[in-house]
Amino acid sequence: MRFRELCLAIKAGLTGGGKLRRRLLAYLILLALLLMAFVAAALALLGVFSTVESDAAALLRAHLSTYVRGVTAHYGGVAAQGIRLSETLSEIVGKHGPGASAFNDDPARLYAVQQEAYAALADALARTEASGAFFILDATVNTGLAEGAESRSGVYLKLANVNAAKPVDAELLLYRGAMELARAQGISPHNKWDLEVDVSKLPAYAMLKAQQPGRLAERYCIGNAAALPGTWERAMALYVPIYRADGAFLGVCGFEISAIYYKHVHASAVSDLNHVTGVLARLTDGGRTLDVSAGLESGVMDGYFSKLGVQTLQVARLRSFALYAAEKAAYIGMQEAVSLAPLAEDGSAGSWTVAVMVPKEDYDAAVNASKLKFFLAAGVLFLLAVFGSACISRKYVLPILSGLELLKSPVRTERSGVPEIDDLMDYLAAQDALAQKAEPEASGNEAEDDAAFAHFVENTATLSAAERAVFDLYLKGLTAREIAETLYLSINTIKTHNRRIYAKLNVSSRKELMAFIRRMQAEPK
Amino acid sequence: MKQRLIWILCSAFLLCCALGGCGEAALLDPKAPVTLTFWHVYGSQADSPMNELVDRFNATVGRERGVLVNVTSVSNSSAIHDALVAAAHGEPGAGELPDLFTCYPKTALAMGTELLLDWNDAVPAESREACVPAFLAEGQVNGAQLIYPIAKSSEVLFVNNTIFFRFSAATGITLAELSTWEGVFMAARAYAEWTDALTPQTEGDAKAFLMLDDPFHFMQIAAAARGETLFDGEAIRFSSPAFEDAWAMLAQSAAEGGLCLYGDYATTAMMTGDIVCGLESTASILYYKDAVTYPDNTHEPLELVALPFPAFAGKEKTVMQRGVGLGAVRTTQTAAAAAAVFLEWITETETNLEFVTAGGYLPVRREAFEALLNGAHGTLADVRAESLYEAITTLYRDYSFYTPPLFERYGALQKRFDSAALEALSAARGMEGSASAGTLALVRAACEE
Repeated sequence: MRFRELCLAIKAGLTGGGKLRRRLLAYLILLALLLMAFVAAALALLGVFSTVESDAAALLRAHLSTYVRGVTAHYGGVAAQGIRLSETLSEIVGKHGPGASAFNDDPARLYAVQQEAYAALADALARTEASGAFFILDATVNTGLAEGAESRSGVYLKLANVNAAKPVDAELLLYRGAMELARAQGISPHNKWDLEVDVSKLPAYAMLKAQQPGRLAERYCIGNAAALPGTWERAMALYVPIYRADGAFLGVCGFEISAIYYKHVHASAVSDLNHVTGVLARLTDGGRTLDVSAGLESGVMDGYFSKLGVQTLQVARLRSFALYAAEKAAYIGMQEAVSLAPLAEDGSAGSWTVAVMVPKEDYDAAVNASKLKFFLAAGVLFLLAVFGSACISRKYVLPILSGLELLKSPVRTERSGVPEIDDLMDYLAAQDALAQKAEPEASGNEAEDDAAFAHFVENTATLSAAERAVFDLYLKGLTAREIAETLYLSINTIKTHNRRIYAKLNVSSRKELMAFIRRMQAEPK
Repeated sequence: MKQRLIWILCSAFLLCCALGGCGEAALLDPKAPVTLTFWHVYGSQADSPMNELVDRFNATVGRERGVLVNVTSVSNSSAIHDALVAAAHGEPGAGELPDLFTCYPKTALAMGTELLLDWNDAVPAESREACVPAFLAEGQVNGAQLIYPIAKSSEVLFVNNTIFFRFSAATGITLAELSTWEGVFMAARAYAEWTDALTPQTEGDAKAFLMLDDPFHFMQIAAAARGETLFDGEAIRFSSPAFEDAWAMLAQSAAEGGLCLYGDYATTAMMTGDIVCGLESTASILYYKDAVTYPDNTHEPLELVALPFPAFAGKEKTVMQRGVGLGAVRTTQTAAAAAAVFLEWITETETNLEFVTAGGYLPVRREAFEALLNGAHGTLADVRAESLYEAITTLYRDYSFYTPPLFERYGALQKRFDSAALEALSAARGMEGSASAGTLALVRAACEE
């Protein structure tokens, strides 16, 4: 059945007046639609359709939990090593001078403490998950220089090559320190080496120096990520003050975590979240802004990493996630506050935020794919329902229609197989028998009857084309209504033709007409 | 029937077009980008030009074509060689091999050529034909293009003109004297004498004048300038006149104190004012700071001048052709297609020119090469860059380019020679008799062990 006919059938079936099969088909399709609607409502109530959202939320929550544990453990470990390093360096400095100022303008004493500090730093770096280790003494080799006020002596070692989370036999570079130290230790200086550290570029140094002495565990800080002077590298650093036994400030030591090193350590294992980015950042503006430039980012192990490429992300709460938006990109994710150090580089409470996020377009694509699957499934189900309904309606109605055809034939000996129709056939046969008994008797004059019949047959030639078409269908046993449908005419037009046919054929009733028609059919041509 | 046949033929035609035209498009999908991990050596500069290019690629062409490059290591050429070889051999703690990396052809041999993508299979012929043939040839092994050139370099003499100016004013020796090796070693002798004389109360504090980043390169060029080769198969011809004459220059200068033998890069010795000039890669320019730092923390501006690689008097002007190229691990067709997208973008004329001139390199396509030689110096805007590209122009106009031989032991041989040469030359000052003969015997013995 073609689509247009189907639509007409459904319309006719629903508005009434359509054929039996079309009406049945329409009701079956309606039933199928109602059932589908009930099932969809039930599934929606049970939350089946929010699968994408709940799955994504569960994955993000799991990722976030793992990421928070990883970052907290990492920075906690670095802090512990930093405190130990500070204690070691305090002893080393104490061996070579009574206080930091004793080292000013004394290259020999400074070099001696650098030599010993080198061993402590190299050892600490080998044991710590960091890309660099440093020691800054609160003294300078030349106080007479204008920049001497902000220049401090020290040693800064960096890993030369970071290509894994735990590089084996890592080559070291000297980023700050006496050049002869590098030569003596057989290591290369960094290409942006300088002798001393410019502490004006380290807010944490001034802050720690100004702090009252106390327990190291309450005095260390983590600085915001920044470019290492003279290089392309971004890194965060953990700073621990170095105190003399009496609490006098001697300097600062700590560890560097570069952006590439962080990426290796905190890369996510491959999971269903293929495009996940992990971020360590600061939450500002009352929790509305995530300052990602203050921290570092990571991606998927040996796989996806796409830099956020922005300084900040605006945070908005959604039902199951947070939305992180920048000018040209948006992400959905989750975050959690972590405490990595007691202090920030400006002396405030050291609060950080860890977030995991995926591109919003990934999530939207998953939602659209889910909707598409649902609509495809619904569409297929609907087509199956229509096909099933068509088959059922055909199977059900066909015997009825066959039976109705049998009713039209003049000789009804065959049974329809439908009990109701067979009953009707018996009833009609009985009615025919009664009718025939009630028919006016033949005039007794066979010649008059023959003449009337001959006149009837002769006058069929006077019928117009339209009247003939109607008459031929009566010959075939169709009813007036059936003739109207077959010829696409209204029932009134058929009635008009009937009047004209009766007049021309000199019959006064349908009964008389049918009697003559039966005689025409019975007689040989 | 006829109409149905036409519909079937049209559909088949469209289907063929769709399938045939897909090729690479079917492999790459912007909605599911392929991530390629990348190790490179373009670091140690103030702004890594390669990292900036990677960021730009990821934000533009990479995003459009479905390719994401993730830089997971930035180091130097010797460190990356060791790391790649270790990863290729699956050594414990070595880390995973990256999808893309920059290295010399010798590294490809050491890794195992069967691991590597043949770029001939991934890069269209017309792109390859646009490259300078000699650059492509350097990265070929048995006909396979295992290392594809992305930026070439050569060797120049970088001079700290701040110090040289003082030296020149005192001795009359000019930069022009440094156009030959004979002139350079003469200046080195004079500098040692001059610096020693500046502190008459202190004996033996002569300062070195010159440092060579790669003594092995120096020896090969010395031989090539005479039309000879330093090698007999995979062994060094220690007994050849080419080797002996060139070695004599070094030994003499080392004995006089004019040659610096610290063993690291010339840039670092220049940073502390320990030398006046260094024979280095053109790419070293971005490694230089603006000032020298002395042990008392004073700083002095470093006016850097680049001079063409000195010639050997009376011999053909010859200079080393250098520069790492891009290699890729052979994995899937999709990864190969993604790698080719990145490679084509970075070697495309405009991008390549921008990258190379930010780092003291030379571009790889003929078209870009010719633009550079005609004065397109790109983003290098300062005086030292102008000086460098003038020197490079002289090299490419007047010199022959030499490419080292490619054999598996080359990398190990180079390391051994450079280390042995430094050790042998360090003994030159204390030698009785000919420093040349004595040190040559030392270096030969060390290399032939």
